[in-house]
Amino acid sequence: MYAKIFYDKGTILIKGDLAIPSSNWDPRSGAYRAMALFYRDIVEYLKRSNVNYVDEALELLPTPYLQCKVKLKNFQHDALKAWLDAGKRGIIVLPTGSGKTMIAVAAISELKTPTIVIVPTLDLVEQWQRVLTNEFNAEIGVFGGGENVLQPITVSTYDSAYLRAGELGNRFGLIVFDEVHHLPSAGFRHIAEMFASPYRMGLTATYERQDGLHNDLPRLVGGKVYELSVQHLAGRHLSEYELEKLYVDLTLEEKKEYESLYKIFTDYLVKRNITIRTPRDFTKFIMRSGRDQAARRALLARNKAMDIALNSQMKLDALENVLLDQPMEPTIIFTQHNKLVHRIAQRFLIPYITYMTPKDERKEILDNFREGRYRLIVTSKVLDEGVDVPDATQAIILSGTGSTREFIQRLGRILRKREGKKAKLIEIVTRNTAEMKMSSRRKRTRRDDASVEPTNY
Amino acid sequence: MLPSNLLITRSRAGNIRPVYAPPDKSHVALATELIQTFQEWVGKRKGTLYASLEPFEELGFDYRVIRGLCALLERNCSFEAQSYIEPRMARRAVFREVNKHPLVATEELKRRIFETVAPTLEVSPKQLEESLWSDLDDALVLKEFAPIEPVELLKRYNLSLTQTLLFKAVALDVTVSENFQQIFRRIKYLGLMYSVEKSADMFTISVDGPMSLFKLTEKYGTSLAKLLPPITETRQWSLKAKIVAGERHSPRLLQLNLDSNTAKDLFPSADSEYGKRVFDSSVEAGFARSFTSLRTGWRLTREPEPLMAGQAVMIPDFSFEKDGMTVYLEVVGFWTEEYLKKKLQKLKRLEVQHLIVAANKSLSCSSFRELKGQVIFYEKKVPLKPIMEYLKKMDEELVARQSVALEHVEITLQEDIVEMQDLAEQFHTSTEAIKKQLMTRPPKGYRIIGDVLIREEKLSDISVKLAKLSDDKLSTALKLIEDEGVKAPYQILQALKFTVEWHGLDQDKATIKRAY
Repeated sequence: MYAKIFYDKGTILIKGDLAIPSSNWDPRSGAYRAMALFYRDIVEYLKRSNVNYVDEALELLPTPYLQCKVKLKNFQHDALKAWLDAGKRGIIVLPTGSGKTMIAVAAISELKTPTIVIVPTLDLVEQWQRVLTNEFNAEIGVFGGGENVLQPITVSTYDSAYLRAGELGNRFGLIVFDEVHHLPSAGFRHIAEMFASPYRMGLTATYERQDGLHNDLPRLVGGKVYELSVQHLAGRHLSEYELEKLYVDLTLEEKKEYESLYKIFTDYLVKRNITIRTPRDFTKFIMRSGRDQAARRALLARNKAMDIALNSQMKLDALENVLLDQPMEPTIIFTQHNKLVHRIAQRFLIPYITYMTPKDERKEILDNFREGRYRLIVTSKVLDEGVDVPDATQAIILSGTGSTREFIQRLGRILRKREGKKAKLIEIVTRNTAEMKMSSRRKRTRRDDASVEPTNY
Repeated sequence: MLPSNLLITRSRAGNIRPVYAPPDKSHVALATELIQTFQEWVGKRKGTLYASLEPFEELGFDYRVIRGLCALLERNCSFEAQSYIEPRMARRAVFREVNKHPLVATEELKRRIFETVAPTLEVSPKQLEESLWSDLDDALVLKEFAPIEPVELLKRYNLSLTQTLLFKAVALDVTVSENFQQIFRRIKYLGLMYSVEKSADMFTISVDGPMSLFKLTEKYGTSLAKLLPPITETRQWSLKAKIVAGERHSPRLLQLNLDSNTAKDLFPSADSEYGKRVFDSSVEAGFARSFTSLRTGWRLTREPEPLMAGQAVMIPDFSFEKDGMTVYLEVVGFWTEEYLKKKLQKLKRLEVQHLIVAANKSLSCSSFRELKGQVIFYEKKVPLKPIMEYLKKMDEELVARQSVALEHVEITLQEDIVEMQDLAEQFHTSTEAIKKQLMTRPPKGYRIIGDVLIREEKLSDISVKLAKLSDDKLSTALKLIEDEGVKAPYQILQALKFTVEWHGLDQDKATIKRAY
């Protein structure tokens, strides 16, 4: 028996005279083919079966001696050890702000193999690139945001990795998925399937997904190998924080308009006997509005009503009061829509970041914020995940969706450790509107989830 | 390609199809209106452009049609920020000044900040304020708009709509009869995989990707969509695609069927781009030109139909065809010895006997001396001489083979005048072979004049008629011979021992004279 294995566009081709588990016969190539995900299993199977084989699958990038000086905290060290013991595979669950990046850095230094780090946003690309450059004193490759540079240590967005998995999949020994809860979505899971990297690390603060797809993670990356919740860290490694909720009323005029618009929406639902309870019901309704003019009018009216509630003049006034109240605190203001970002930026002359902001300007603004030249930033959803903004001690949410994860991630932003500092999260909500429901949904889900229950509430 | 929320489809009984915007009266009117609006907006702001387009959504068309058309029109636009100073520089200066204050909560403070910063940037406070937000999307100014014909816009829209639906495709089967090189090249470039079946002169290509072996995946949808234009540009095509539709929790697999018979007028036509397609390199174009000018009797085809080798195909650059023989020519630009060897090996598997590889000497990436056989090396242009020699040799071999076959055939002639070309067709052989055969075994009672056989009696009949002509003008004689049904009058004149006397270059002034 003999076998020769190759990498081919996200798959492993096996030429030889034997069938191998997890592979399918491909008549077009006259060979067995398997997802690159199974590369490690295939090699182990060949070894165990004493098959004479040639392995031409991995073409690892020539790599300099990777050594960093990072000193891990105790819990970080434990996490790394758990991962190594699990066969250099698996997922580490730690709260935002606890230094997950450093665990990956130490893993790269330990394995000394070319590594690709997959991250969800361009901000995170930037942040990882900065940390890795520092730690390894080497040029770091980047895929995403128009850049395509391949290096022994490379950072890529999920989008770019998805598009290029077929060509990059055999160049790295270790693949690190930051915010790994993104990975199981229908598209992104291809990244894990099309990379042959035998060593895999997943990092996240929120392992569970509402749609249950996290059940696929053990297959794609490996199981959960280490988990630590917020209360284990708060006070010691993270700053404590408190949560404050401010209710504002719509102005009379806004209220009148809001109600008449919202009525168009509810009237339509009553007339057609439609109930909307879940996000799925809502998606169905949106799809319906493509065919049905009346449904579309109802949808537009609802959107306009929400717009009034989210962008209420009173909210801006409340924001002004909060900002005047704490005139020294570095603060990030979050909104759901760009429109509101621009209104706030123009009213108070505050630096803003949206998805339209060019990469270098975004970096400039964040640098200025970090170094204290700007005290305030207003942003839409772009800063949602993991971006390291160390000196933010106050966050204000002006509007948001009802998603649990988004809420925690935003919360996490202000959890950066700072001596003797209590961080603060302020949510400004409009009373008596549909937005109230969104806000209480967040709270309810959060209470259900013990691991993120704040210590100081 | 459009954002997926602008895709409009209808599905029925397991089939799905985009809802197209046919180039009918109402859609052309809509397209015309939209194009005009964009044209009128040159010099104005993007935000107001879109505000002015909103009422179109009330016209009874699906709003997604209007937004889709506008999305395509926006690709013909260039927007720019108009400001006195670079907006980013203005913001940087203002934000740093702002940071000196707890909060800019009053208009008064705002004004003071502009007044402080403006002089440092050498603008007025008002100019500073206007520059500050001038690169926001809504504030951009439409600088240029490249107009487009309404019907062309609708056709591009329909193509984009189909491509957007194909984003969700898991596999694509296309049937085409031309444009192979472009199609296969694109398949390869996009990292897709294919298998091919041939029936008559149509090729059915089934396309998906390496991961498709393991699961239904939409991963290759975008690539399959990019494969669409070179298909719909051909004259005759059909396609079938499996499309994932419905919600994420209960996906369904639907079928998209389209073909040129029913959808041709919906898409950009062949002559818009396909017809104007150029040669890959000037080397190839030059070769085609000089070969055609030689009139060899061999028919030159650029990108002949694919040669099949198991599940793979190869499309040579040129084919030469004559009397059922085909010779292929592959022009190689950059190459290595390994590449050439592999290519020759592949050709061997194809069982193609006659193939010439022309490789550029100066572009070689390794030594080429060891390679023998059908490889021609060239420096600046593909040389005609070795190719002509190759074809000539094939001609001779063919004639020799056919002559042998004709030896045992009885050729009986009935007409007064018989063209060899007609005989060749009758016996399914080449004119050269017939001629050779007739030369060695001349048929009784006939004379061979050029490529024509003429009965002796007919010839003397013409001879007598020529003697009786009222004048000795060449043109009169030629007309007489042609009227008798002979296509080669000069050769007849020559055979009847006439000579032509030219008086200047004008044929009308030439006379004939019998040489006794």
